[in-house]
Formats: sequence, C-alpha cells, structure tokens
Amino acid sequence: MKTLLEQVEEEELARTEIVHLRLGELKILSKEALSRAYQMITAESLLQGSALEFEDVPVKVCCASCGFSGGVDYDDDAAFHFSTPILSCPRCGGKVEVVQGKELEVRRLTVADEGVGES
Amino acid sequence: MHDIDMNNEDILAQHRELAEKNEKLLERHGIRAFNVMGAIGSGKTALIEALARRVAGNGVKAGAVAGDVAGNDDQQRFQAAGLPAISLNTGSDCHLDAHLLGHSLEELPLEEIELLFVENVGNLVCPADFPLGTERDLVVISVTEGEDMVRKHPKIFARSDIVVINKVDLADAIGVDPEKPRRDYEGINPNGKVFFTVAPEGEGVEELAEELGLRG
Repeated sequence: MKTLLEQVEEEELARTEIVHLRLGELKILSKEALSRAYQMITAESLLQGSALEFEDVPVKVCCASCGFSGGVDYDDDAAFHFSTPILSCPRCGGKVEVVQGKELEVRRLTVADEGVGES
Repeated sequence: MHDIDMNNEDILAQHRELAEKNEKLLERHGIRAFNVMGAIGSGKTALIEALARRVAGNGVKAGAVAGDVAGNDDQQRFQAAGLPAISLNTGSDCHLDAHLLGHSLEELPLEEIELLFVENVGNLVCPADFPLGTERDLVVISVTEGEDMVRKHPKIFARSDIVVINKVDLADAIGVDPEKPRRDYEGINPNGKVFFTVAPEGEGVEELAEELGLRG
C-alpha cells in the first residue's frame, strides 16, 4: 500500500486541500487526535496544509438466521452519553456478522487545480 | 479544485493481513487462541491461570502471551503455573497488535501447545480495534472496578461476545451489584454471554471453559 505522500509525489499532484476518510462507527479512534497527528506529520511535506475530513460509516450487519441485511438498532440510554449500536439482528434478535462499520479508508483527495510548485 | 478517487483504500489493511497470517500459523499447529482483554487488575492473568489449570487436568497443554507495557511479572506467573509463556512488552503502546503477536509466536514452542491465551494490555479502549488472529475475544471486568464499566466503554463490549465479571465474591463487601454491568452488557449485546467468576478459586470457570469449547 502506497502512502498518501508517495502517491502525491509520484503523480505530481497539485496542492492537496482535503483528504477524505471513511471512518466506521465501530472504530475506536479519535478524529481530533488523528487530525492533530496528521497536521504534525505532514508539516513541511507535500501534504502540508491539507486537512482530514471524515465521512461516518454506520454499522451494517447480516443475520444468518433470518437473512436480514442492513442497519442496526441503537441503545439510546442517556447514561452511555452516546448512542451505542446493538450488534444483534434488529428483526429476529439473532447473531449477526458485521459487514460495515469497521472501516478506516481513504476515499478521495481534493487537490488544487494548479500544478505542483505553481501555487 | 478537483477530486481524485482513492478507491476507499484501506489504511488498516496491513493489520488485518498480519492477523490472518497469525491465524493461519496457529491453525497449522492446531492451536486454538483466545484474546483476553480487560482493565488493569481485572483478573485476566488469574483467569487464564484458572482456565489452564482446568484443561491441564485433561492433559491439554496451554501457552500464554503476557502483554504489558513493561515488566515480566505475568510471564513469571504463567511459567510458575507450568505454561510456556512469552512476555510481550509494548514499551508504550496501550494494546497488542498482530505484528507484535507474530513475533511472540516465533518464540513460543507451538508444537507443544494446543491452546494459547493472549493476555492483552490492560485497557478497555484500543485493544478492541486491533485484530490479532485469535479465534475469540473475551473481556474481563471485576466488581472492584465499579458497576459502570460497561457504560463507560460500550464499544469494546458491543463487539465482544463473552464478558467475564470477576471477583464476584467481593461484591457485597464493596457494595457493587454485579447484575448491573450484566444488564448494561445485555442491553447492547443481547447475544453475548456473561460469566460470573472468582478466578483464583476456579468459581464459574467451568461454565466459561464449556462456552470456549475447552476440555476440562
């Protein structure tokens, strides 16, 4: 897997403005911490000044018992302070396989139109 | 400005590939492996010792990987209990990952063991996010951590299908109702299984071993 920096260098991309990430709902990852770390490690690189933007990817499951495929119910108990996905079948209550919600992916880059060095 | 499609390139693909490599290595040696997660002091080590004692009675040899930031105390405990054990110190990381575990597997006498308990670093946050290549994950909490451990860390519990509530013999003394975390857990993971244990005495360990499919 190429790093973003390698890709930007190889393809001589113009200034990268935004790196669009897909972040699964079940990933235990702080967007704020990742963004801060990204700013630090990209300083003085071709990616300097670009920002991360996150697309939240909700949990989807498949149920082996009833064939359900789709989103899940949520536990909205205020004591949790978050809405927690319930990883069981919302239709029959059966055990499910998580088919979406654990992603951390680079979806696309938004780059400036001018060539490298022309900015 | 214009956009360039990156085809949803998976940033964590390497972790999964390394986990699959571990899984295949363990399979080749006929070893069933369990990832034991939980907070510091929840009783992970004692529970692994109890499970290992139980299967040893039937001639089943277990090994252990003792994951900690530093120190080899748990490795020494496992070795004193007769388990081949490796100390896996992360140095600073708050969780194990498949890469680190892969190196421990190189050092363990895989031909001698049928079971492997991987004791993760004491933490209820990050370990849930890093697949190791183990067969099942379990989370150990203890009543001494309070009644609200599940509420405070819902994601790890939503994703783990076995929860052990340990030290239940101390529940009355410290005024904690172990049924509360059980109810919280069942609320977010209705198909999960909960076991109450007193690990050093082996209480509740038989039921857990049965759930894990361990011969005792």
